[in-house]
Amino acid sequence: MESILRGLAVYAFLMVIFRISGKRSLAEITTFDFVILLILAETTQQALLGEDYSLINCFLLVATLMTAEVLLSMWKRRHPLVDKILDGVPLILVDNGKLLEDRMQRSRVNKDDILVAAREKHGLERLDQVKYAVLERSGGISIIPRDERA
Amino acid sequence: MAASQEGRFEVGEDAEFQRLAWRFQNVGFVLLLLFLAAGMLGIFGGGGIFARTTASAGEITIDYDRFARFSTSSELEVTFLPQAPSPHLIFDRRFFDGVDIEKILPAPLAMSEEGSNVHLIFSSVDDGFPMTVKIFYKPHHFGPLHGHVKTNGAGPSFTQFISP
Repeated sequence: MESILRGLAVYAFLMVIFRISGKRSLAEITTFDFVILLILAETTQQALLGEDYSLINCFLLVATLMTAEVLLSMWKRRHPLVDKILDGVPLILVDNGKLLEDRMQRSRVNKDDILVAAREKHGLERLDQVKYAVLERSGGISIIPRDERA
Repeated sequence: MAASQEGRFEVGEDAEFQRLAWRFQNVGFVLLLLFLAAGMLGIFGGGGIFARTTASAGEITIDYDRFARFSTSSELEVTFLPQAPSPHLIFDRRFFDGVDIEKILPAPLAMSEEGSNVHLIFSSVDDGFPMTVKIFYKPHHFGPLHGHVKTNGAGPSFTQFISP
């Protein structure tokens, strides 16, 4: 029972921490972010397992985490509000070519992040070629280019 | 005003909810800082100015972790004036029931249970000099852990809070 409770506690704590840290925390990871991610995994692994390295403990923990995932996804599907609370909502950062500075600042996104997404996804060279930029629930930035023919 | 609000771009935006989410993030970040500050001060054990404390009564002084952690080593140091010929300590059994003893230094010659007490008997020492006994243990419950130690007369009681 203890390992199941440990699994649920770590799952809930990580969920709250990642909601606090915002969408952009690990959305586009640098080398250093990747190292932090590995350290996080190692730290939580120790708290999850304790001193019990048995196979059954491992199976129980994996089953706990996967069941929590499935149950939460079912809950989110039934209740849109839960879905919003747990995964957030998309946010427009560039509206018809205009940077929405206040939103960018609150979401810790800068102009360069938007230009990077524009270059990588559409090969765009300038901000005026961007019609919309949206900070997605995943933390990534999606770009809708201007229609050049218009 | 963002495009979604004008109905031009279907993106599922919810500006009101987003404002609440930002507020949650700001409050959450402050709570996170308070959590870390509490950790630095030793509220969750593992060192820090509030982590250890002392208590004394009669001829016994104890030094222990006020805050300790579940299944993590903790140390209780008992200093007392030994009584010849066989110095001994009498512990409240509740303490021994709540922990796994790792080692006791110096090792007791004998350990016995009598009712709600556990007796530790040590080899004889020079009369008149204080003796220090160190007990290393791991708590196996979380929440408050109570204990009491004495020789023949009075002795201090102590309470540790064990973090999960």
